[in-house]
Amino acid sequence: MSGLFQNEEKSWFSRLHPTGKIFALVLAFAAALAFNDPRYVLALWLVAILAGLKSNAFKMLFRIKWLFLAICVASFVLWTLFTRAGTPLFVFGGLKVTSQGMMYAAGMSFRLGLMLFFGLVFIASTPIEDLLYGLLRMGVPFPISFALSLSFRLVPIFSESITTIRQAQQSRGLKASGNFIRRYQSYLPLFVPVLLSALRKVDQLSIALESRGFGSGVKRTSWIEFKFGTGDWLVLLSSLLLCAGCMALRVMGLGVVRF
Amino acid sequence: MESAVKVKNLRFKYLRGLKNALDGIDFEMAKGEAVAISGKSGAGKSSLFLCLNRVIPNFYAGDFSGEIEIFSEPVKDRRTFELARKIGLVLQDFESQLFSTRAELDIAFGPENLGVPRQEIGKRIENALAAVGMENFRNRSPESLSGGEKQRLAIASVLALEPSIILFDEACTDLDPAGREQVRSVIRSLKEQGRTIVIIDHEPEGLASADRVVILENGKVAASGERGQMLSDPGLLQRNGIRPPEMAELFKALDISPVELDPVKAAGVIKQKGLALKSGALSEIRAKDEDQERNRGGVLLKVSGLEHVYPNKNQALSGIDLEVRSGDFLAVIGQNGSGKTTLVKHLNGLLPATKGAVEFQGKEISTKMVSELGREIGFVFQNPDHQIFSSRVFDETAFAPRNYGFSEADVKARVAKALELVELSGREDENPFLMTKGERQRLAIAGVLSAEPKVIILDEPTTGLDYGEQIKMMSLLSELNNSGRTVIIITHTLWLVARHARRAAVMSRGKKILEGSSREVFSKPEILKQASLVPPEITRFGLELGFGFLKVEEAVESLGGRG
Repeated sequence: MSGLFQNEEKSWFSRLHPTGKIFALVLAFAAALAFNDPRYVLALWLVAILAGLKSNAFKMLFRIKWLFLAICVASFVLWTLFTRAGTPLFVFGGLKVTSQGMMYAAGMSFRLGLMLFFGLVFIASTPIEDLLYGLLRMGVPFPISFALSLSFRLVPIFSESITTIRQAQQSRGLKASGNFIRRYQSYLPLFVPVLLSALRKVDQLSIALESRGFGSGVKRTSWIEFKFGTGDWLVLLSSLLLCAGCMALRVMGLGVVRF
Repeated sequence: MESAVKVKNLRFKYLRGLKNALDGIDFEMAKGEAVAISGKSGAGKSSLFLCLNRVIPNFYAGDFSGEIEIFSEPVKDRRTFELARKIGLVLQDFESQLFSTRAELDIAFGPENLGVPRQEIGKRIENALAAVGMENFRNRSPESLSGGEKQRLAIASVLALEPSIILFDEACTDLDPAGREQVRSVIRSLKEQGRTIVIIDHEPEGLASADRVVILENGKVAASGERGQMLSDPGLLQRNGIRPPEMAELFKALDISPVELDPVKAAGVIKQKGLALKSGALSEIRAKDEDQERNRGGVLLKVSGLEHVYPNKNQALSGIDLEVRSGDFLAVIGQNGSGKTTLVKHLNGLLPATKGAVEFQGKEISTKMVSELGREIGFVFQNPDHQIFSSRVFDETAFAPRNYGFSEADVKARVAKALELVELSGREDENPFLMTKGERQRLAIAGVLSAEPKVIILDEPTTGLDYGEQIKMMSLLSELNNSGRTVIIITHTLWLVARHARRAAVMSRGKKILEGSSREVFSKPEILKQASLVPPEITRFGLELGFGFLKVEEAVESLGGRG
């Protein structure tokens, strides 16, 4: 997960003020939520692709392409099956698939994918420390912002110990198969060492943090520094206009699948 | 001389501790002095350290009494962060000291917390990076660094706070030989700059960075003295869980003083004294080696043309051929990242081969599940706490045989046998989490032995153990090996390989660059150098005289000493 936050190459987006980017992301999400008609959502995808080209989001998308596709396809299938209103295309047993249902499902699936992609654009261009800086400038207290950023740092460390613990128990004959009770029992030999090693790690972390002045009560300074410039205003105003435009279309009754 | 640290009658008992971890410590050191604190596991070293910057009692509750002064100022009632400008702490676990995605941000973290102005932070980042020789690592992600580099970055992060005293709590324990040397060289250069340094270590190489050595025993100061004097007393060191330098042992056995700790110079001293190697003794050693080679069993594990490429495209192994015969005691050595663990994880199917094959008793293992193979090939991981989960020693040991479906009577018999082998009989009802690290390590081995595997693989079984515990662990493995089990270990501790392993394989950058009997391998220092490895002191000493010894006793016998 923290690998997602590794930005070897500096993109245009990565040089923008993190607070501006957080606001722009919220506005982009709001714009995406305005529509469920796939044609309108696809139009918004053009904006997303443009934003993607100005960041390293496509590289990141490539890394998680299968997960991304699985989420979108699962969303499409589920919405198709659970939207029963509209003209039936075919009925099979208890299942009814309608043309409007498929249209709606496509819209919802594209929208979910769009929001994920906007998230990727943000993550690809915002190292965790920049996110921390942005949150602090928005008035989020330091311990809360820092805990959030630290959680991303800890994910690979914990995931490494989970892999090792699983391998250690497998080597002693542990099999995660069989009925529910057997499967449940097989998690105990994994859960206890994972929990204890996490607690030990947190214990060490808290000592290391306080030894380096964490929580000193002194007003914190920052080595990272951003100035709100033309690019930031450009992105923020464009996001604002985009969001307002989408909302206006929605109020006019456009961009929504009708049953 | 200005006093840097003064500790008076310090006592501390952990909340649920049975006895005092610190039991009346009096200790003083001057500004600019480098002091090493050593002693057995549980002697109170880390507890003393943690008291200095008030982690005890701020983080760990218990009965605390006594006085501590840092630069003549009492630290009573101070919080740990208040002392951050005075005392910097470098921990053993480098992972838990790095919080950022860029090296310079980790260094900036401390000064930012203390409100240091931005311009000043910039200067401190540059100075700290220069002090640890990492000027070119400024924008690197800590995740991409080696263990030694990570620990150096952790040191730089502490230096950025400009503390007057720096504490190193077993900062080299988790590192490979190259990483250890990197960190020790940073400590030496900090000492040369006149910094006040306190080091916890139980390796003689670590103690060598200090001016003075203080040995703790049962929470008390047992001995204290100038470095050279302390390192020349093998008896004192051994009694206190510290490995004595092999040259000190040799000189003591040969009744030669003063002790010369450098193996090359020591060989010079021996020549000057007119002592020569006795051909009879050398022939005996050679005959034993040949006997050992002749009596190797049949092929048990066969690796041919093995390659492994991780999903991130990192080629971890290439072209590995290896044969492990029944009854072998093989040590796989090399730096971190050289492919040692990746290689041995193929031997019990934990990793699938990208190319090539691994056979066990003539059959490809790729067709079997890891859980099945565990019955024949046991694997003990480095950290026992990654394995132990039961609240009773018996249940922990019974886990494997129960998984393999043995009857409860069989399970009992196997547990009893395994616990006897690791000397934990009679402790079946104890809670493993209350045992010492050495005991937990032995319990982890029992947890694998209870499946009665033919081969037992151990990943760094002696990391974090003191000298006495290391010897006990390796003697246990030698006993297992002598009773017919095939033993494979991964280790960075080369003197242990020399004394216990029959064979060694050297890995470097995913390739096996050398394999043979331990003597053959350690007698080729030029090839070992390619893997950044240096033979043990006694071998280097011997090679100067023309024969690669593996043990001090061999050298003593060959030179006609008491033995």
